Amino acid sequence: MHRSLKTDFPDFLETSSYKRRFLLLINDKKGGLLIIPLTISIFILSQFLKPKFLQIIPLPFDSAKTIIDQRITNLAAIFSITLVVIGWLITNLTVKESLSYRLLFKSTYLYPIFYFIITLISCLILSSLLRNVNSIGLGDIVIAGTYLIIIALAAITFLFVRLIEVVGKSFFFDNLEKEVLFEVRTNSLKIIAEKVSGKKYSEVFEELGYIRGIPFTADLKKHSGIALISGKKDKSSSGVKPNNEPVSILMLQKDSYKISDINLSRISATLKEIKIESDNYYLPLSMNSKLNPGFSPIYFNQLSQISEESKVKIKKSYKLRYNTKDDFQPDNKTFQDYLNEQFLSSVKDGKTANIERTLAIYEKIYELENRINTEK
Amino acid sequence: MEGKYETITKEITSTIIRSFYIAIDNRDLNVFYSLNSFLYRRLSDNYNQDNIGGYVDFSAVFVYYYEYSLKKLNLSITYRDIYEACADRSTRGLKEKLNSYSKWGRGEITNVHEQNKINKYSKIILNRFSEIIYTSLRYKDISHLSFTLNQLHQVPNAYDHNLSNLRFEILISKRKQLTAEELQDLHEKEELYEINSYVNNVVRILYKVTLFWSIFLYQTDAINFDDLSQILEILESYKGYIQHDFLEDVMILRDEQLGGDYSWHHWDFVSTPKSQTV
Repeated sequence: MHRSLKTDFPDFLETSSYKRRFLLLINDKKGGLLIIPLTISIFILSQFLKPKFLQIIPLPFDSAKTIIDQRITNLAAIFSITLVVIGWLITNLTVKESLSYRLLFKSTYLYPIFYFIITLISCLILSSLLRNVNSIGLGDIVIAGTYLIIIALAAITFLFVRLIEVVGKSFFFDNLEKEVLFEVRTNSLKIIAEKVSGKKYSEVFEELGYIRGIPFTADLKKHSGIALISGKKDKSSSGVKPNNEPVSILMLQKDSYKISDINLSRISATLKEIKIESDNYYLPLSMNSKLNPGFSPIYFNQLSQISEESKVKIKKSYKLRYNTKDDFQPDNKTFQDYLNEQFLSSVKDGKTANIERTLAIYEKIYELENRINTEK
Repeated sequence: MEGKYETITKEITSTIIRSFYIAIDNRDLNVFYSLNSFLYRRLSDNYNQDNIGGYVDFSAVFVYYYEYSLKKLNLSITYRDIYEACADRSTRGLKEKLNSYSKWGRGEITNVHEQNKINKYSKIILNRFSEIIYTSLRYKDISHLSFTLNQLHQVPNAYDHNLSNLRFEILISKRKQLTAEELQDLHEKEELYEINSYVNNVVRILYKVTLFWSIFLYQTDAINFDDLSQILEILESYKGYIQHDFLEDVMILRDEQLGGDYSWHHWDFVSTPKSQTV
């Protein structure tokens, strides 16, 4: 089902290039840590692979010995000055909100650059410590380190240029709009997934002439379903309820599951194979539907006629996930909430320009919602 | 489960409603006007996109801010400016929305399908009209009641000559002996007339209800004789709406299950709130 969503709603899903995805990944407090092994691996590669571009400049061992210390001092000096200037610029930020700091870190790539330089310094210090170990080609390390220092200088320049842009007020609002729309799009993806998947799931069963809903209690004796999760968490049982036992669906239990994906083509193929006459029931489901143990999505007229194999096939078509803590958390709405707050406070202060600006963003969001409503 | 989805704009709508209240609290006319124009835009967008849920939500805002500003005015006379703006814009906005759908006799009569859509949205707006009338009766805001009835008077397209031609055609052909084909044609015409005169019928009923309800309120001592005579004086000018099809409309009011139809499930008070200064 994920695949069909991707073809139907390309612009709501992330279809960006690998480069952009990589930048998004590392531009984060935790994702930035990825830089550390990358930097270390460059040093290690310089040792073992001996790439050609490091061999262009010959560097005797003696001069490498002295150069490495100088490089460390240079880099440390540049880095400390950078930190001071960044601190000074941040204190002069026009819009002082916790969110604006977050935006600032994001748009300047502060985390990855910071991690990069720290790793570089510590690697160089380590190699200067190991300079007397004979097996290490110190020349290669120094040259690789020098190249990386030049990259670090470029990164610091980028940081400064970005930072000066960010300090202004208009930047903050422009980015806020971008972030809010991005957030809304991500949240709406979830809604679209539920809506579309529910519709497609029902379509499959309507096609085969299944009746929507649960059979009446009188019919329960005749009908029986395939439980996706057996009530007692007993994996050995086949999960099929005995014929005369009514299945309770509204049973609320702590351990509930959630549908993460449904293999529609497999379900429809299996059901076509089964060929039980009419009078079968199905329950509407969609992605992220919460399920309780003992829940059965389909009720068959004569369950005994279905082979064990098809039962397993049907059960395997539903990919379930245990309800983790994250699932109970609401959507990520940090920027949107901030925008609403800002809007109310500018209404309070009577700042008409800000109000108009926010209303324009709101209109875009409404437009987005309209697209969700109209598309299928 | 299928059928119930979250919307991504739920919080924004409530933020906008709150912002109206804040603007009224601050007596900030500029902010109020820019918010109000946003409201207009939302309504027309929702109409164009055929999003009835959004239309219901936003059209209610007119009534909300009218009532809120009226309450504020009852607390302090300093809210007079913002109250006047709110009262004026709420009723006028509703009227403008309704009028933008009718053709006023320009061009052909709208076909059944299109008119059905218009009626669907007109009904919501007429409900809001009824809520405004109710609110102004409840708080004894008789000057605004007079204004609202006047705006309501501008809503029906009774001057649409195409529509009255259609009516005469129907009346004339009813007197003739008709073949099966002509009978079919007559039924179609009747349906077209019925659907196109929907707004006119409801407006008429709204006037009648205002009359009956104010008399009822006088009987239950919710309003005094002076108020009643003022209301009657206002309604005197709209005699036409009350006399026209009097019995038919009374039958409609008596017989039909109108509970949710014209927001009349709101019309349930028998005494006005105590904090009255107006």
